Amino acid sequence: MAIIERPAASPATTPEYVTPSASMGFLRRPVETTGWKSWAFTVDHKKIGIMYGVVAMLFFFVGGLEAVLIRAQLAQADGTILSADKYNQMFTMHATTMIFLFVMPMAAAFANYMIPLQIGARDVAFPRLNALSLWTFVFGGIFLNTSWILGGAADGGWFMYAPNSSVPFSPTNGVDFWVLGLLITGIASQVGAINLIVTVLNMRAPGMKLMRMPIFTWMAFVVQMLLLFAIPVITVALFLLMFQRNFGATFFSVEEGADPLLWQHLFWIFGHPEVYIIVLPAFGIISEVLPTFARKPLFGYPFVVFSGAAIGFVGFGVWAHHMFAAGLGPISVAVFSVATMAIAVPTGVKIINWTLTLWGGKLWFTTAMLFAIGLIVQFTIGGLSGVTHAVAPSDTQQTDTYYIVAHFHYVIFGGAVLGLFSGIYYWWPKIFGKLLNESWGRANFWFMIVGMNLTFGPMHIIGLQGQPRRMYVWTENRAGEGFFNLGFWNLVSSIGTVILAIGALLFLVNVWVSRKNPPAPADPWDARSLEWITTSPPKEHNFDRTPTVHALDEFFHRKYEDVGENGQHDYKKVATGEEVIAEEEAHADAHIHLPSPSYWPIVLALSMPILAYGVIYSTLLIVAGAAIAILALFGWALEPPTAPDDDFDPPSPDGGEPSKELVANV
Amino acid sequence: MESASTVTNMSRRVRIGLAVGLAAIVAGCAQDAPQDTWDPAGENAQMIQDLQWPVFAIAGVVGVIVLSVVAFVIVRFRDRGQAMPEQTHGKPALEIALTILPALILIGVAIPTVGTLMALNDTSDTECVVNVTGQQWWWEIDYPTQDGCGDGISAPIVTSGQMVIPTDTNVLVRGTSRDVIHSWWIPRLNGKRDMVPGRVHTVKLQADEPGIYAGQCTEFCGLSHANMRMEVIAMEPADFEAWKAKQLSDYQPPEPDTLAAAGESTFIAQCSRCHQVDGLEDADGEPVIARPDLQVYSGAAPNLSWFTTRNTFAGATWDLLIPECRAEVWDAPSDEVGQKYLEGVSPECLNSVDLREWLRNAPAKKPMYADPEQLEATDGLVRGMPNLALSEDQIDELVAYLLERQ
Amino acid sequence: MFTTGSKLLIGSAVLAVVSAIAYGTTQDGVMGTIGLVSAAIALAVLAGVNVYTRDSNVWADEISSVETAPAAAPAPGNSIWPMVFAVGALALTVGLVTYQAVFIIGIVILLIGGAEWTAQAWAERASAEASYNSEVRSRIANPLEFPVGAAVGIGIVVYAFSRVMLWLSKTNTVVAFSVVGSIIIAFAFLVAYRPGLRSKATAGVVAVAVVALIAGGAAAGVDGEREIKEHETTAGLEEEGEEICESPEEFEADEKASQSVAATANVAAEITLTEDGELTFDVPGPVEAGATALSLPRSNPNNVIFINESSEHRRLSVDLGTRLEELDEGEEEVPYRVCTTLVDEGGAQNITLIVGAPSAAFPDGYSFFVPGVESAHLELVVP
Repeated sequence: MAIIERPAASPATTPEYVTPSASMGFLRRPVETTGWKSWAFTVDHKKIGIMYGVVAMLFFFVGGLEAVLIRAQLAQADGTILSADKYNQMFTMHATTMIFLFVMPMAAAFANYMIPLQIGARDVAFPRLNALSLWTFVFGGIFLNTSWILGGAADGGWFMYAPNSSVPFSPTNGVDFWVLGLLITGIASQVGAINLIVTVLNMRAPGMKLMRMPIFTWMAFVVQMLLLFAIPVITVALFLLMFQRNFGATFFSVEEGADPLLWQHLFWIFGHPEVYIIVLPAFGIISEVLPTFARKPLFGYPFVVFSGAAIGFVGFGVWAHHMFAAGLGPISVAVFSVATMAIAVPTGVKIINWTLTLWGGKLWFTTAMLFAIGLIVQFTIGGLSGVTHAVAPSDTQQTDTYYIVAHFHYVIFGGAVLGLFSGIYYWWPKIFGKLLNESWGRANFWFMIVGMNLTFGPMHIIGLQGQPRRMYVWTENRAGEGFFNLGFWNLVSSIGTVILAIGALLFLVNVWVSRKNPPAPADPWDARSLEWITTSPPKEHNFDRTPTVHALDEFFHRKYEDVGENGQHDYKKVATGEEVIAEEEAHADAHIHLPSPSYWPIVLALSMPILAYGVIYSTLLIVAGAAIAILALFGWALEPPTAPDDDFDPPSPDGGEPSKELVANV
Repeated sequence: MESASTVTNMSRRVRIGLAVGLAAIVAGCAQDAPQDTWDPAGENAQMIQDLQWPVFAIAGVVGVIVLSVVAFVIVRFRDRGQAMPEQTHGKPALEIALTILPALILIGVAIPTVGTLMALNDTSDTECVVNVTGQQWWWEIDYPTQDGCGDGISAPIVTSGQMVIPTDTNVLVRGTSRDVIHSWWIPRLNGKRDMVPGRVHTVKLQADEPGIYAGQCTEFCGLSHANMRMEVIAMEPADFEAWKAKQLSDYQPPEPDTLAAAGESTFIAQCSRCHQVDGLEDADGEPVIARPDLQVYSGAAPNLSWFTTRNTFAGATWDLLIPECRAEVWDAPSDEVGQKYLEGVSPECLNSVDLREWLRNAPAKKPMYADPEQLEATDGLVRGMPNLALSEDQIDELVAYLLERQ
Repeated sequence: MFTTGSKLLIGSAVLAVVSAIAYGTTQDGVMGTIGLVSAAIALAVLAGVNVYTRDSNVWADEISSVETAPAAAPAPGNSIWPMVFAVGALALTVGLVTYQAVFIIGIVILLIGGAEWTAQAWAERASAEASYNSEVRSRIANPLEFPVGAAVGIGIVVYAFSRVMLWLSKTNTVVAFSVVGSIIIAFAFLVAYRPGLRSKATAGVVAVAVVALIAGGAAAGVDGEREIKEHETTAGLEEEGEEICESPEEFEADEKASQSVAATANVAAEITLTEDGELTFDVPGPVEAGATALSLPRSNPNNVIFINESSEHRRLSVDLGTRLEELDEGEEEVPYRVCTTLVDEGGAQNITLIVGAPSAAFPDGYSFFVPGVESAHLELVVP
């Protein structure tokens, strides 16, 4: 919605009248500012970020349910809760949902909401493209999950190795749903990556050099660069598989001379950067949270930035450590083993920097801070177990066992998820204008920590004692003697899952209980970065005037002045957060243009599942989907990004209704 | 700001709790887990263990240091109303040092890693070659004609599920797969190696002592991946010669007019389309050659010539021995294991429950794709053993016949 | 209410429908009926659009606008699209009775012409100002024109280039490619480092080059490809059976990426024909001591690489006993052979052997042999 303020300093309100001009005679824009239409057709990065987060959280619980079922099946020997077929579908979808439909979109939620605020922009570079990303993700996720009721979900594992993924070995449509669903959500990520890269490079506030950017924006930027180069690789792999399954190609047919390792290479060239895509946003979040609650700046900001970039870079060079047992030959394995050890170094740098950030600080243990410290502890454990399988010969014992499952759950849950929850608690007052309840938050945290350690800790033991992964049953015959045998630890792990699930539900309880909280102050945490120089929640146009940035931690420097002498630093508070915000409001811009909502992103997004269903079921749907896509693209191209100013003029005094025909705009 | 002290007290309590728990965990590991990766029984697994435990120790030490520092920081620097802390932006020298230190540790780890890797891949000292072929959801093991493996193998031996090797011999497993990717893993003898269709990979096995070493397929291969197991039985060279002699001996048809003789005809009628018994002749005296490539999508089925010389079946998923007899063999002391194994499966020790259930309706017992209505994707060929609708009498006959295959 | 143009189109649509019905019921041609029905639909759509926009008649919707229309309302400008549209209609009709290709070209021209005509007419109604109108036309039509035009243009250039490359001899193509590539690079450098270069000059040069390329492509395409040897693949040879696999002559080795050695690692075996005419084999890991035969698992996609170190073109053949062949008279046991194509001296080729029956099924077992080299014999054991 374009907002035009006539007198200065009046709070921006949405105009009561909009008379959208019809572009080219028949295409109008949506005009609603409230109700469901204002959400469905919005291009506002904040609304889009919130929708990303809500849908991602929904999928978190879907994936969590799948996990609970898996652990219920494995709590006892020769379990009967899930059949072999259902179990295989369950673990495939658990991983796919958690990775592609929860962690990545939740990180995108934060990136979408926070990056423009942190760099002092009013929106992202391509707002309609942003909306397209969101809706493509939503429809792709729904499409993927309709497989449950349409003949069975994918059952080849989230890594979907060939040739098991070919039609003779996976005869149901489940794999097709998986392939097409990931192609659709891949579009969302790829397009979002381009959008955010351009935003970060081009739309920073004056004075914000790259090394003055908030650290979360930096990490999110590295993530977008990773996405930009990794998503095309999996897209290629998925296209090869789709053509193999649906159009008779023979990319992975061994009788025709194919090498199944092709899929593994393609998948892991994407798959390894993917895990950094998963964890770096959480690293960025806690790099914001820890300094705020330690009352000191991030220790070694340049080191954290460069180590993030190094992780991104080197992350493309270690993919075959997922293939140490795949028969690559000792030279390749040695090279990748050493490279994998190398990548532990920049990660270690971060842990050191976070700990040193806390050192000498004045630690305030809010829930966000608890989650951030939890990340440091849990990720250290996960990272160290990762180092143990960088050693390739050891990895031939550990890979494909529960030891690996333990490792990646510690780094994904203990790393990415705890970081995301830290961000949720930290930025909730800014986004929704209310604080989340601290007592419920602490309960949420402790249940999650205890639950996660009880669930994934024993998996280290189970794995080293020889229980492979991806098995729908385990037997007494292989469980060993003694009380603390595999049976015991499997049971402990399953009980831990229940505690973890309760922890997750406590988050929902907290959200519910906090909905009637009093409005939160604009700066509840005495924070340091630019996004806090806004109201809570921010106004639609974010900043009344684009702030000029003089230093890293700009907000901090506006509140605290260094009155020390002779090289000594002594910071005195000279302004509260509210005063800084008021100062900005006093100099509000007179005329603010925002991008206008549009139908086309959601229409284009809608064409994709139709196309996908067509590939599986009927060529007619392919034609229909393609037609809708072409029409949507055409309509999008015809529509200007922002509605013209005249749309917001009041109707003419003689009351004549503006004509529906083309208006001569001389 | 509220309850900061309670939180940190909780933190401290939890830290102590975690430490105690860790100790309990380490102390409480399973005894004799058959697939324990920290209990090497051969030189290859030993090489891996010699590399693995120091790395674990280093990782453990680093972990304890980091977690202790974090615990210290949480307690020492919590908000007690102190003044605004010094706004340190970093100490480059310290950071560079703390970057170089882990790098040096990792270089120290990398060098023996590469050495062990090369040693594990050195196959020049091979004394015995065994071929392994993975298939959904069982392992075929065949011994090609060669001079090694003790006193040599004069003709190919084909079996499934259990690989018998002589102790103190460098065995080279040469493996591949007929359909999807599987993985051969005997944890106490060596790490795993993927068995990829169209490719051949090698992995060394060597056992110091006689014993039964359990393993499992460790690359997801479809519906019954969990039911695809195998064992390696290492026995003294003398016992191994006896085993070979048995496997290479001639077929002994059952005595006429016995249940087993009826079983032989039932076998020819019902089973020999897929399962090979070497030396079996039909009523006309023609050798019966099984052609599973015409029935099974992946093209092969287990060779049952000496079925009851081994003690697991159906992808080593079920025992052929009742629990008491099983314990006698599996838990036998190392000087008796070979002899006990060579005794095979006696009628008193036979686990007829599982065997009969399998013969009655195999797909109901082990998930497989053998339903004739649902074989469109594989041109009507099954993946696994179908339900042959055998009568109880036929099952009796077959069990009697199979008991004589030793 | 209905303008002249609408009346024409409605009439044509009705005529097309009637013709379609008449043609369909009397004649036997499916294509013709489809063509007429398509024409009917197309004309009906255009008629509908025309009625909606009420093209070209101001007094069709508002009598009062006769008085209030701007004095300087321009007449519709010159337009080529009606003529293009007519050409398309002609091609469509002619194609119905001659070649299908012409019919399809007619439909394409109709679509393009119709779209452009509609866009132009629409734009001309936007205002009285010609420059604004052309901007509107661009706004509507460019999102469609540019991608489609670019795709078509690139397609034509690439296709023309491919025809030229297929026409030149093998060595000459290398020369041509290098020369053209160097010219392009040189030209790019020129353009980059001399900004003063007149854009008209560059455009002219590029236009000439493209026209030359297309003309050359057309000429080469008409003249035909150079003589390219037909290369059999090993899969094809398997079906030829005994005649080929026992013959040391005929087809050259080449083609089919699946048989190319470079892409294959960790093969089941490498079989080498030595200079002395012996077949030796190597497998991953050491060959088991005392092994004289190659052992391969049954029903397994075994990749075997044949390396020819002799001084003649040779093929590797595998004697796999017999197999049941379905003939018109019934089934027959025929000899079963598979082989590679002839491999150059020093060359290599891959063959994927899937053997269903064990070697014990045949009295002579299985063996590798090289037709023309008596001493080359290697037993194959499939247990």
